[in-house]
Amino acid sequence: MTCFTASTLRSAGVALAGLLLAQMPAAGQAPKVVEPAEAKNMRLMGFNDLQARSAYQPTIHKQGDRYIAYVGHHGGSYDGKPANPIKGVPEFNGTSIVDVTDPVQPKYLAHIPGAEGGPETGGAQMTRVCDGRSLPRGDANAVYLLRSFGRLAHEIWNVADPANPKLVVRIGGDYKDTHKSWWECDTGIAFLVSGVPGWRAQRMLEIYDLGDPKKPVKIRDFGLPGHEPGATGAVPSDLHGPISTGPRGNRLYLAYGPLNGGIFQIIDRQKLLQGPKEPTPANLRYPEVGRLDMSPLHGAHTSFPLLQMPLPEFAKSRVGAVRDFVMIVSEATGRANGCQETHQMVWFADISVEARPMMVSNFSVPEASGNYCDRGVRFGAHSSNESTAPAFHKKVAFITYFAGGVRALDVRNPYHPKEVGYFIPAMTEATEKRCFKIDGQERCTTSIQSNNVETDDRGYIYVVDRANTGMHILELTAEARSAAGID
Amino acid sequence: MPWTNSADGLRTLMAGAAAGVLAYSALPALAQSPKIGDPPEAKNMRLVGYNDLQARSAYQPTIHHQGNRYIAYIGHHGGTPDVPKPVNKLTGQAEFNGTSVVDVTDPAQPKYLAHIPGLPGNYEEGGAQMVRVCDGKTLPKGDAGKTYMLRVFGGRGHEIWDVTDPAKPALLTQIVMGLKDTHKSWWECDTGIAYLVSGVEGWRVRRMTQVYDLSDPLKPVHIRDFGLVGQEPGATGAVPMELHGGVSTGPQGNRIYFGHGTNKGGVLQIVDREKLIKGPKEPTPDNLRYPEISRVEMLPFNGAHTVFPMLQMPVAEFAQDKDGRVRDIVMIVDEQIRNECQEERQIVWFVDVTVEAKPMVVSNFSVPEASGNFCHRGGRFGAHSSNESMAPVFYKKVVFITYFNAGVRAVDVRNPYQPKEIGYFIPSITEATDKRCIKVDGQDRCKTAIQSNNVETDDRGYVYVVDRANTGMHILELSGEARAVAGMQ
Repeated sequence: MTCFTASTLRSAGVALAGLLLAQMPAAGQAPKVVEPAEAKNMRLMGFNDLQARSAYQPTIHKQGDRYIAYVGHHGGSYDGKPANPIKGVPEFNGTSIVDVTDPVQPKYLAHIPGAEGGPETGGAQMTRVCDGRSLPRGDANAVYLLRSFGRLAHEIWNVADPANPKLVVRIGGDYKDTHKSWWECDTGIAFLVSGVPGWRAQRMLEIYDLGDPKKPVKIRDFGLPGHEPGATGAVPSDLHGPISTGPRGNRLYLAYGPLNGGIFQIIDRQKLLQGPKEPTPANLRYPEVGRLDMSPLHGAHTSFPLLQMPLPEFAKSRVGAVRDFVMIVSEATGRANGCQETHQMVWFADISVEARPMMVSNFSVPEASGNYCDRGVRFGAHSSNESTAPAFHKKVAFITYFAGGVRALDVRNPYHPKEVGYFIPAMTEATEKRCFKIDGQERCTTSIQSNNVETDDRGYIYVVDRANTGMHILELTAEARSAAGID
Repeated sequence: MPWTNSADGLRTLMAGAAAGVLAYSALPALAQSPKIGDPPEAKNMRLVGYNDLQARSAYQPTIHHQGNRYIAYIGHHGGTPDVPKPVNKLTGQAEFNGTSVVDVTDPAQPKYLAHIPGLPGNYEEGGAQMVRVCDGKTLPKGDAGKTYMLRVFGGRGHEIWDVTDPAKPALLTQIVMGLKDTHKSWWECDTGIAYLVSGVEGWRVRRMTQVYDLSDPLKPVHIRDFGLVGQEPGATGAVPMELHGGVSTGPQGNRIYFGHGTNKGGVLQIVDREKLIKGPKEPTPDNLRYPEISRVEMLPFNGAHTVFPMLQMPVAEFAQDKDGRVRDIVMIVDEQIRNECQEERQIVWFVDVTVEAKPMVVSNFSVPEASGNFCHRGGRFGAHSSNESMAPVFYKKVVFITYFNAGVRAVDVRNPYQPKEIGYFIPSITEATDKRCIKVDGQDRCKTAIQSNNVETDDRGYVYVVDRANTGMHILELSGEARAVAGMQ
C-alpha cells in the first residue's frame, strides 16, 4: 500500500461527499467496522492510515509552501514492529511524516522508527517542529523536528526534506520517562518533559537552550517542591506538559497529574530561566506565580492559555469584562470496559488574578448521547489542539474524547463553553482491540480512540487515533464555522 | 385564581396583570427601568399570594411550620431617609423596621400578624435583618409549649423572642449586645447550638462567629469566638475577609460551611463542628486553625455570601463511571452590592467537596444580562442569596436564587456540574418600591426596580421571595415543566 487515500477511505466505509450522519446513532454496543462516521458540523476532508500505528501527537508545520504533519506514535500493542511499506521493512513505531498540503490527498512521506517497547515504553510519542531560520542559531536551510525517543531520550532531526529525515543530535538516553515537551521556535528554549535520574518524579521539566540544535545547552531541572532529589514525603503528581507564552507573555502553564491529582501551575518564565538553578525547595518555589490544586478526582493533562478574552456577558460591568483563562484537559484512562474510573473532562480556570486562579466551568460529553460507556476502551477527555493560529484561537477549541471522537467547543465565553460540533471517525480493519484485566478477567473491546488533535492556520483539524485507525483531516461546517468566524 | 384577597398591596400589585394568566412566557427585554402597572415577568413560576410587609425593606424570610400553621418571620433592613419609621397598620404606630410575622398557612391569603420593631437607623444601619426559629419541643432544654425566634437587633446584638403566639411576640432574652455588627446566624434546633454572626470588640473584623449554646433559650451559654486566623485580637498583618454566614449539618454531618466575603475576597471554609465546639477556645492562631478542614479561596473579585451544602448527590451523568458517581457539593452564592453593574458580576458557584481536603469549584450559574437588559433597569443586578431549607420537596433538585432586579431564579441542580435555569419570577414594582441611585457626573441618578433580596422555601413547595426595595413578599410556586424537575405533580 503506497497510496492510502482512496482505498483506505473506502475501507473506512465512508464516501467523501455527504458521508456524515446528522444525528448520532446511540450505539448501544461497541461500534462495528462498517458503521459510518458520526458527525455534527464537522466534515471529513481526507485520511491517512499512518501505517496502522497507534498515534499520539500530531504537529502540523507550514514548511515553505507545503504543510507537513509530524505524528508521534506510541509503541505497538501486539505487532511491535509493523511494516513500513515505503521501505518494505518492519519498524518499531516512531514518527510518521505526512504531506498534508492537499488535505484531501495526504501523502505519507517517511517513517522514522522509534524505541522498542510497548505502548507507553516504546515509540516516539511527542513531536515539535521549528524552522532553522526562526531559531537564533539554527541553520537557515534546515527544519528541525524535536521528538521523544521512547522513555529514554529526546532527539532532533533535520526534516528540511521531510521525506529524508536526518538525525542531528540526541539528548539524554537514561531518562525514566519523557512526554509532552514544548519548544519555543523564536528563542530555541525547550521545556522538555524528562525523567532525570535522581529526581523522584517519573516526569519533570528539563530546560534546554536548543537555539543551536547541534549544540544543546542544559539550563536547569525543574519540578514541584518534593520532586527534587533528596526530598522526602509523598511525591507530588508527575508533570504532564508545559505551554510557554515566550519572552513576551513571560508565562509557562504547567499541567501535572493527567489522570487524577491534577495540579495546574503558573510560572514566571524569566525567573525560571534566570533564577537560581539548584533544585532546592526554595529555588523550585521561586518562579511560581500561582497554583491550583484540583480535586484529586480529576487530572490535568493539557493546560492551554486563553488570555485577554473580552466577555460580552460582562461588557456592561464597570470592571471584569476582560478575563484570562486556562483550559485544562483531564485524561481519561477508562480501561477496556469503558468508564472504569472517574469521568475525566475539560475545565476552565479564570486566572485573571494569577495568584489566585479558580476553576469556573467545565465541559463534558453527555454519556447518554452516544452510550459511550458501552462502546469500550476509553471514554472521556484527553487532549486539545495547541495551535494559537487566529483561525480558531479563543473561539473554537478541539478536544479529543477517545470513543467520543473529537469535539468542537465554542469557548468565546469560557464561563459557558458550548459544543458546536463533533466527529467520531468510522473504525477500519486496522482499529485494534484493547484488553485489560477487570476483576481478574481479561476483557477486550474495539472502538475509535481519538487521542490527540491539532489544527493548522488554514482551519483544518487533524485528529489521530490511539487504536491504530490513523489520521482524519476535518473541517468545520454550518454554524460551527460562524463560531470560528469562518465565511 | 386566588385573587379575592382584600389586601391593598395585592390590588396594586395586580393592577397591571392580566386576569387568569399572570406571567409572560418570555421576558420583554426592557430597555428602561420597569413601570408601575407592568405585569410580572415569569417562566414556570406562578404567583400564589402576596403581602406588602408594610413596605419595609426585607432581608431574611424564615418559614416555620408551627403547630398546624405556617408562619413567615421576615427580618428587615432599616427604613429610608424619606420614611425612617413606617407605620405599623396593626397598631397605627410608626415603628423602626424590625421583624414581620405573617401567617402563610393559606399562601393565597397571607395574614400580617405582628411587627416587632428593630434598631433605629436607615438601610443597613438599623432594623433586624436576620431571623431563625426553633420549637421548644425540639430544643434540648426548651419549654415544650413554646416557639422561639432568634433575631439580630440591628448590628448591636442578638435576641430571643417567644413567638408561641406569633401575633404577640414577647422578648425573652438578650443574648449579647454592644457588638460592632451582626448578620446571617445559624441555629441548630435539635442541639440548640447557635453560630451567631457577631462583631466582638477587640476582634479585627466587623463580623466573625460567636458560638452559643441556646438549648435553654432563657440561659444562653457562650462557648467560644471563632474566625479566620488573623482576625483574632492581637493579630498583625492583613485582616482576612470577614464572615458572612455559616450553615451547619449538625452533629451527624459534623460540618459547618462558612462563607466569608460578600462581593469580593470570597472564602469557603469547611470546619469540623465537633472540633469547633470542643476544641481549645482561646483565640490563638493554632486554636483557630484546629477545626478547619479546608478552604476554597475564590477569585478576589467574587464573594461567598451563602454557602449551601448539597452532600451525597448521585450525579446521573457519572452513573456508569466506576468511581466518582456520588459527589458532595457546596453551592456558593455571591452578593452583588453596587447598583447598575458598577462592579464585577456576582454569580453562583458549585464546589465539589467530595475530597474535603481539596475542594474545587466546578461550575457556575448566572442570568444572562441581555435576557432582560438588567444592567439598565436600575438597582442591583446579580446574585445574592439562596433558599436554605433542606425539606425534601426541593433539596438537591431545585434551588432558588435571588438575583435583585432579575427577581428569583429556579435552578435545576440535579447535575451540579451543569446547573440549568428552569424558571424565574420577577415581581412587578408597586408604589411602595423604593428608588436606587448611582452617581452620574457627581449627581444622583435614580431608577426604580425590583430588588429580590432573599428567598426561602417551605416543606409544601412554596417559595417566598422578599424585596430589598420595599415591594414586600411574593409567595410563588413552580409551574410547567419545572414542577417535574422537583418531582412534583
